[in-house]
Amino acid sequence: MWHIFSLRGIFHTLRGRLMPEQPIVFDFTKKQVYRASEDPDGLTRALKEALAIRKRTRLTVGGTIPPKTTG
Amino acid sequence: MRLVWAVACRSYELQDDRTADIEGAGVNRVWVNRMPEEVSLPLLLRLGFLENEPPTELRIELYGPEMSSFGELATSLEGEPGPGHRPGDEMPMIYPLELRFWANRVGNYSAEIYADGRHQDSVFFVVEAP
Repeated sequence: MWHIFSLRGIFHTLRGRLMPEQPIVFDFTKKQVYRASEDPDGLTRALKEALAIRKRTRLTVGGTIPPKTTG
Repeated sequence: MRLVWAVACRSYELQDDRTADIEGAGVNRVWVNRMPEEVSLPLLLRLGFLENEPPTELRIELYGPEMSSFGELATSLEGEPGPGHRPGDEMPMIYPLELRFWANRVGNYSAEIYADGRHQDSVFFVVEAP
């Protein structure tokens, strides 16, 4: 299933469609608001987002949040 | 447009029925290995729209330690009726957001969320380093 979702995400991104699950990025570094697929950094990040979003969206850039603990 | 809730999380998965499976809802600590470091924080917003409501502004102000300002950013959002919508019903939508910024100090941060010109919620989190 993961492969199916990933390919679909890439397909949608390449077609320029805005999937509803695409996050709106409030980028305080670039002082811009954009959809993840419209990242000014270009296609590389858009593809990475497409891969990450459909399955799960995780922190993949910079800071990390510690994993949950089980008790 | 009104903000129903806003929650920071580890990850999420949006469903076709306009619900979201959220993991780590309410997480409030971000760890960075060095300073400065780019931070990317997932934030889910559930917004309620009125029928025929024009696009409405969502604005976020980001503050760091000691109320240092990262500025404010805004965009316009509008609702659309979902499956099963009945005339007169509010149109709820979940918008996934991502806050990106370069953290240059450890400490307390807050995202102040304004919808339709009104302050509606604050999301607090802490940036920590080893």
